[in-house]
Amino acid sequence: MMIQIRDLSFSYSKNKVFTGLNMSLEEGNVYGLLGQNGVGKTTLLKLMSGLLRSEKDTCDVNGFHPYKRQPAFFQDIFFLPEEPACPLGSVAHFADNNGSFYPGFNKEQFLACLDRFEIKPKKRFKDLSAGQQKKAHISYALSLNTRILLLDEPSNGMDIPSKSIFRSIVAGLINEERLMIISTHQVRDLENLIDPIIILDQSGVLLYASIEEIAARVCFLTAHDKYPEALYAEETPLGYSLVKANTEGIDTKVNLETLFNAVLMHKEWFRDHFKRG
Amino acid sequence: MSNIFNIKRFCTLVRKECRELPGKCGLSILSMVGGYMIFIILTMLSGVSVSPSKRMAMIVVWTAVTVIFAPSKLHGNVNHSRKGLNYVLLPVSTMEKTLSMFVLNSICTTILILTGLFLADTLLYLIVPSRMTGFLINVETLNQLGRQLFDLFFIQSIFILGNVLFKRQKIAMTFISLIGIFFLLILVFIVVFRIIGFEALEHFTENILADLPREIDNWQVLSNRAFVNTYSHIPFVRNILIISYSIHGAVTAACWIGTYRLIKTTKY
Repeated sequence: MMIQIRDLSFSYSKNKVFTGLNMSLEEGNVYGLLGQNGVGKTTLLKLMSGLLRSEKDTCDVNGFHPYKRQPAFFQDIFFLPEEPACPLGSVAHFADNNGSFYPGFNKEQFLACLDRFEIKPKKRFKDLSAGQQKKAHISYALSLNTRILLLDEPSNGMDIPSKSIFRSIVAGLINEERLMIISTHQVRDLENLIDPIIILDQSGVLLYASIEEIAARVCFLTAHDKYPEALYAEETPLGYSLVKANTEGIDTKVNLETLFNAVLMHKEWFRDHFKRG
Repeated sequence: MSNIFNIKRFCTLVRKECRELPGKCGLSILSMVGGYMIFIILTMLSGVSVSPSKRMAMIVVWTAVTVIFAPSKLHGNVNHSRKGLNYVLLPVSTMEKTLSMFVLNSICTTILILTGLFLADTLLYLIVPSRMTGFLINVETLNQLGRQLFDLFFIQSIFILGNVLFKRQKIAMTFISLIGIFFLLILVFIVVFRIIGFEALEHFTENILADLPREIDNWQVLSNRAFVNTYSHIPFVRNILIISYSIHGAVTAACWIGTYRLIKTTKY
């Protein structure tokens, strides 16, 4: 296991975020971390990257306790926050200056990513728009080639073509030795990319399953009427978008947005049907 | 590779921070040098001639202001919840970050501002030597600077700690804290003196002053370094010196240890 969370509890003064959270994450996957506002998605990423304090043995990342903040740990993990700070100087200068600390940093790959996002490396960060800055940061994060990459809302602020470029770059970079966790509210932007899916709520993990497992247990249908046995029904211009238990073994495409709403409405059902051993 | 200190990694960090120095602090250093030149020119225009020792005193003041402001300019974002992430996530040990902070703030910035001020002074001296009574650099002024540099490092270590301790208004908060600590110490001394008794204290002071040479203005003992150097063979003066240096050393060490701990444990 690359990341092992065992009985993790965390609170901001009196505000409890996690109580006894358990989770194991393996390399070779792009995890989608979903959840309503305030359930602790960013907090979890910060705990994994050592920005917040976790008790020893409750959070093991790549064999390290993140809060020890050891260089060997940081060489293989990178956390890109939702709103990265605007560095001084040009994009290329920033990457040259900081990338040299990461053994896997590949400048050609960085320049290629920038090129795909149509960002000029010589441009100064402060002269770029917020979306362009985000794309420059994402290019940097991806070209560091760390074994663990934590991205908090990476598609926020990106234009539509950039989102598909982002998906294509990430899909090309994931391999058996790497692990990515993408925390997002924009599930449609990252459909077909994130798998497995982790949905958090105040009580902990609501759902942790691969797309294959989800498709095997629930099906996603469009119908003119609400099915009485549907777990969730959402009115759409074409009728209803439904989520129901897949008792008949129908093969449907997972719709992450309706899944998310269904999980929130039937927490117990999903907990019971997606129990992990 | 060691997780505590690795010379190659440390040098890479120092190089990175040196490359960033002009962007973060360059303009401030240039402004200070420009301010010094304007001040000297205005002083000369008012008809006052400026001796090398007066100019060196001015340079020390200018350097003091620069080294006090340098930590917040160079490393002001290290504990910022958003802007500090790049710094904390850098694959470098806390020891290397602390040492690099020392190199950048105490050595590089001091050298840069002193070089700038010396060059500015030399330039003015070459243009209007008649108003400047002698070249700035001589044995006396260099000694004067050498003595003050240690005090500057001491003061700066306090402001470096303040820089990683306070999230906002770092310099103002450090000043306020220092004033607070000063008043707290006075309060502690008053309480201690009350417990000991003011008469016993007076008796103790009189005994000590009786040992000092009569021609000396006794109350200047602690503030006059030249005096201290001349009379350091007197046991009382020597003890005061040892205590003073020990306190300076202990406070400086405590500030750096505190800075290290804060870099290591700050939550974002």
